[in-house]
Amino acid sequence: MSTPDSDDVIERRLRDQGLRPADAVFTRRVLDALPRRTRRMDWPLQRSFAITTRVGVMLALVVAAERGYRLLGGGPEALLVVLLALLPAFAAAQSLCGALVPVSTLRVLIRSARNWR
Amino acid sequence: MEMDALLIARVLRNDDRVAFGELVRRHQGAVRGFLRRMQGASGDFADDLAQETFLKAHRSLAHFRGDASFVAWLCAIAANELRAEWRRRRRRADFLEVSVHEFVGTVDAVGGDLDLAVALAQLPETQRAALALCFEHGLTHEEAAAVLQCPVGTLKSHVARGKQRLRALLEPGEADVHARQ
Repeated sequence: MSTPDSDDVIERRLRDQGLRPADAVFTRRVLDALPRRTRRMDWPLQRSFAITTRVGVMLALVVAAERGYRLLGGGPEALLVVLLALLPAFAAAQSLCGALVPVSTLRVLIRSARNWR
Repeated sequence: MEMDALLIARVLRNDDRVAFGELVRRHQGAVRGFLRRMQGASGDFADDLAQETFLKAHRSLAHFRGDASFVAWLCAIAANELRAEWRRRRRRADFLEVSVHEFVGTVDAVGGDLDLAVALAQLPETQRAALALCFEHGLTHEEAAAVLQCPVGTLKSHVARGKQRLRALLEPGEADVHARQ
């Protein structure tokens, strides 16, 4: 059996002269090997950005329609022309920005229109 | 440990690379030293495993619960990497033979204690790992037992036998005296 004294010498030698390689090159190497950071926007931020864009595009279309209606002098014919011009503009905006009016909102609008009739 | 916790929180919150670099700087000595002791072959290869250990640690940092010290958690990942590597290479049988010869160059390169390195390389893997973790890298018996996936009692027995054998290798005269006693 080994004595405590001799054990302490071994332990001390291991502690004092242990193998602990450390250098800045290794740290750099690990950091370089880490996967690239993907700059992903937070989900709430992404959502609010999408909603703001939709509302902005819708407002732009409404303003353009109103201006066109006034420019044409008003009346049923002007309204028809504006609505006909608005349909392709709306479709183009939808294809570019996604659904301008969410399906759930459309359903509510349709249901309210039916009830009103 | 408290400092480690702050750095880990910074990495988890903002993927702070500076904080992770600091963790690597603080603990690379233990991870690389442990792997070099165990691997025995080239230092470059042990460093490849150490790099993989830190990359895995970065990926699964959110799973670190803080039950043990961060360095013990890193050593556990390193030990798993080593086991996987041994399984891959199927070289466990001739591992010891390679290590004794190749250790000289590895230890010489980092300025370690050559006699100690050669003596340690002659110990069985479990005893060498137990001594390296407990004394070189300051893990508790419980932490080292968790790293080596064995009961604490078994770990203590590896430590005791490892020390006894190491003493016999480093101080042959002393060992004879103790043997006679």
